[in-house]
Amino acid sequence: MNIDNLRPAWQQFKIQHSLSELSQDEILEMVMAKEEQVSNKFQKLYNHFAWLLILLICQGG
Amino acid sequence: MNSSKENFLKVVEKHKGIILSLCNVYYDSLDDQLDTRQDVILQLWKSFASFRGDSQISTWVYKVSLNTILSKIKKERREPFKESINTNHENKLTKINSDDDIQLLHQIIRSLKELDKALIILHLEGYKNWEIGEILNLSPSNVSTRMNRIKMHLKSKFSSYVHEHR
Repeated sequence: MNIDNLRPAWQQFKIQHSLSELSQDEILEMVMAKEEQVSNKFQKLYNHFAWLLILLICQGG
Repeated sequence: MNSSKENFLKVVEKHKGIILSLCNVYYDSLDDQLDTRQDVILQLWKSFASFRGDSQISTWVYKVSLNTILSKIKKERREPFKESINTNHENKLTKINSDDDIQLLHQIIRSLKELDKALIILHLEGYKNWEIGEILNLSPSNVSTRMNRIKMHLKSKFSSYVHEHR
């Protein structure tokens, strides 16, 4: 069999899937969720660092 | 909404056929397809800022999507206790393939190993072997060898089917 004969079928397969529902809101939700996660990580890291700094200052004083 | 997000939304909207087709090819269950779709879109978003337009945007979408899916599958194999995604045949997406050729294509792709699926998809998309190598981080000779092996496999497995079918 010649696999190249299935090129139009792959194009058709893609077109069928491009008709599926994927709203802009859904995409944004996925992206925002990730950004929020990253921002929370930084916030936690910052809090830890600030707490460490306070401890060091208190011990030094 | 900033312009970067707007541009990204346009890219995903334009190329969602690629993203969703790849998720469908690699995963049977709807839950897994949705999960993978999210992973792919996140990865596309993460690398969107660093895309400099060296290649066509569709090539970049293929590269990021396929590498994300292949890494995900590799990771899942390392976690044997997690329910295997490919073995879950419940809740399958309704097959939208009414055309005989699409059904045959689907069967052919599903009969291949993960990396070989990517190779054949990129071949069907019209990429040359060296381009496929760049997308999947393989040498051109490795791509050629694998392509020949895939063609042999398909010849032995599907030639009779094609003769009956046509």
